[in-house]
Amino acid sequence: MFKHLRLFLTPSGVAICTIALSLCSCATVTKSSSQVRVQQLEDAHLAFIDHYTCVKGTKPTWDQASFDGEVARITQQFTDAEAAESKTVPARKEFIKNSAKLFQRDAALVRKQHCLSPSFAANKKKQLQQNYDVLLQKTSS
Amino acid sequence: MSKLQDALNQIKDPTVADAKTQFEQLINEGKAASEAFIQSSAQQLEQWTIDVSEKKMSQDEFDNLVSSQAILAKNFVASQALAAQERAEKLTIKTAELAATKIVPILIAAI
Repeated sequence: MFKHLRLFLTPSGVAICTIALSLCSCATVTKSSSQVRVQQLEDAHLAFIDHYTCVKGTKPTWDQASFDGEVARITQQFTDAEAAESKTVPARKEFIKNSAKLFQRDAALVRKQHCLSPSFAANKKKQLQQNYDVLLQKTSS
Repeated sequence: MSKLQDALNQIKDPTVADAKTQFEQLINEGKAASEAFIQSSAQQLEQWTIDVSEKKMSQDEFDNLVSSQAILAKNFVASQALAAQERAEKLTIKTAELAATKIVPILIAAI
């Protein structure tokens, strides 16, 4: 009855168990880091929309340098997230690429209008949540 | 009368009467769809049209939402079985295009 248990207690058995556990933990880390990256993209994108939403219909003082810096920082976040995704799952890369396109459209609109109507911001946030929810569901499966 | 009908009634131009009817039918068909994405897209497009009619959003903002939704919809359509792709495209991308090209520009001019 304990024959199999004895096999596992040999040095080679312990080594096999260690390797198996390491592989499992690696898979878990990869999965969660991908989800964390996507969540960070969503947070950054939503914060950008919040930042440039007109308050009580008034346009804030426009700071071109600050805007350019923020867009560059978030664009880099998308580039890094896309590069970090494994080539074996091209759909995830494609989703991040498409999400980056969505961000660029929003940045272009802010560049043109300098601030977004509260109604647009509410609709946009709902749309972005719909987008990133799909991404997060895909990365968790 | 629904808020969407109220919004569309502001368009008096007889040349877009067919487009208005078609748009309303597509929105209702989308809202009744069993697929969550199609349902949500139709509900959102209806809300955007109402917001434009109430002057809460600019045409640029509406166009941004429509073009962004087209990106999301392409992912969704691609994930559907071939037989369902045409219907999914009609109820998401085509409906949004109809709103952006025929309904909203005239609606904005009318309000």
